[in-house]
Amino acid sequence: MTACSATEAARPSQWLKPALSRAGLCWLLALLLCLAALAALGSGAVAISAGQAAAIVADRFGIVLPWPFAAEQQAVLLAIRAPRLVLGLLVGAALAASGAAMQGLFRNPLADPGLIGVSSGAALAAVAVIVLRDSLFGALADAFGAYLLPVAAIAGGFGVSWLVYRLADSGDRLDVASLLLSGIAINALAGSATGLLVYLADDDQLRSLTFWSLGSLNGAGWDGVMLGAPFLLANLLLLPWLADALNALLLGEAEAGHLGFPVERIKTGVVALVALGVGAAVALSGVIGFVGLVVPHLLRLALGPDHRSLLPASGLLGALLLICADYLARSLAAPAEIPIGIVTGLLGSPFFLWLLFRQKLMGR
Amino acid sequence: MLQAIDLSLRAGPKTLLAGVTLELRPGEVLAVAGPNGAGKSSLLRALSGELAPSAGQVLMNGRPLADWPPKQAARLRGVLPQSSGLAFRFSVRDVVLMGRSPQRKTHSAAQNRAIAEQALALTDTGHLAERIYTTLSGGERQRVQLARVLAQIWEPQHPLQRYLLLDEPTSALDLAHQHAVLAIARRFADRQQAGVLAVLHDLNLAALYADRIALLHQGHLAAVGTPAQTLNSASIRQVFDYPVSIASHPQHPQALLVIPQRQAAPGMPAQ
Repeated sequence: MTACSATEAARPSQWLKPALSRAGLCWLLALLLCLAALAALGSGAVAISAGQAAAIVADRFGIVLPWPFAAEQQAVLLAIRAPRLVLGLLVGAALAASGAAMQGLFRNPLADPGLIGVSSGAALAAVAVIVLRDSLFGALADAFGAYLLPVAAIAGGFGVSWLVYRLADSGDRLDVASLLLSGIAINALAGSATGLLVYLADDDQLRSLTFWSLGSLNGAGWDGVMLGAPFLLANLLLLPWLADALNALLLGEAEAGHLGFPVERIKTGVVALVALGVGAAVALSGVIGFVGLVVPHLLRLALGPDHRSLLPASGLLGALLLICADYLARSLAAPAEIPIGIVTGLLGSPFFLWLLFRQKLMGR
Repeated sequence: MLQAIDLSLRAGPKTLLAGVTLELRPGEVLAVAGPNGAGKSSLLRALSGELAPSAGQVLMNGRPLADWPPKQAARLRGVLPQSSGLAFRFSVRDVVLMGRSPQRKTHSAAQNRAIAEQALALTDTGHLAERIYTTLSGGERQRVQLARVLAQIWEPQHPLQRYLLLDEPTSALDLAHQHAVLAIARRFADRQQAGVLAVLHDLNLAALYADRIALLHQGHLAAVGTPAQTLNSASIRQVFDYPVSIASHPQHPQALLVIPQRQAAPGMPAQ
């Protein structure tokens, strides 16, 4: 239709208009993401220019770029900054895309990926491992080594979201309202158990708990990235595949069924993919708030609610936001690091309030 | 044909439908009427496959509903809900395009968009195409939803017949749009040989537009037949528990008019 581009511009919901189409915004986000990635690779105690960073990465693929670099720079970039960057990209993208999918599933723009208990479950398991490692998990710690914490967190996240899911599943249908309520109840329960463990923790344990419960990309190595990547990639690659179905679900479950979508399978699929992605994200980088809530919310204002563009754009902006937040977390109090959850919270909450007041002023 | 055969539906201890046998024929408009709680919406939801029957079965074009692949069933049968809870800010055009989801893989985006435009025009909502759905009035939303459902089953599926199920399609509409919607339903049945079932509260609308009327009472099918066969003061009194007179329409002598009697307010103490 010739009217198409004019239509996009006429939408009152769009304020990144009218020069920027949906595809244009995605390309812009991708470009910004590349720039932010190069900047993130370059910044830190050992300075590496963007050109050198590009040259080191290209060198890995046998391409020689005209920027000379030192062996030390290469080692720092490949062993420390690159896995941290990749983890940030994957975690940010998965959190934001999961948030978008959850908001679609619950038909509520305030839903958060943690609603199905996956974050609090992973947090509980991780805290339990940190606090009770010596007393309870001695044998397991020997068997799993450094993997014990992420593996336990992934298992805890899946376990608790499975429990929430079972509570809301009446056998032949998953009731989304019950899912929300059982999620809230189980989240509170897991939160209390975590609190009890924190109360029992000694000073050393408390320090690692803080970093963990507020999130950090610190300590990410390729081992961790490889452990989480299959889950995070499954989340990122499969969620957009459900975009049409999520759109139809916004009409109502019965309506989506009448349009030929297998509604029950789709609801289960969304919950499972979010549990995979967010479970792995929390296991590797702790609980990072606000990305899953704010990013899709913001993009919905810019792009409209269509999940076909919302899910990929959320992934891109979530990754971009987390890379930038991690840069701030590393540099604001250098050489010390601030937990990244504090940065996303500090950036996210005023921004979210601004969104709310803006809606109020515009009378929606 | 879309057939309910000895269809029963129970929700816990409550019987919603009891042994209803009814057929929706290609090319006809069938109105379903009855008092609140008689099972009209339950019947529609069972015929659409949304609710699985406790006993009996529903056949679409001779084949049990559950045996149809969902996408294929979606191309044959459109369902207009009583109200839609869509709270996200889709444009009206995008809402109608959602009706083309079953054809997203078989048609080009341009074809689907062209059909959405035609459905918008047919339902007198073309001028709303760029509006945000959530900013529309209730009546406008209902017509947009009708456009979505029409777009869904727009093309003939020879040799298979199509069915349009409308749950109180006129409830939020003003007088002119009530008639516009039923005229669209009528034309869809006449020109496209689709079977249209509409749950209607207004017996006069049913008499004007429907070929047959089914009266439901406490989950049972109390009467089914042409308006002349079903609309008489005895049957309406039995089903609705209310006294009416029947007259013939001054402009359309073949159509009947159901005229309710005036009721005094019960239990009000006189001053």
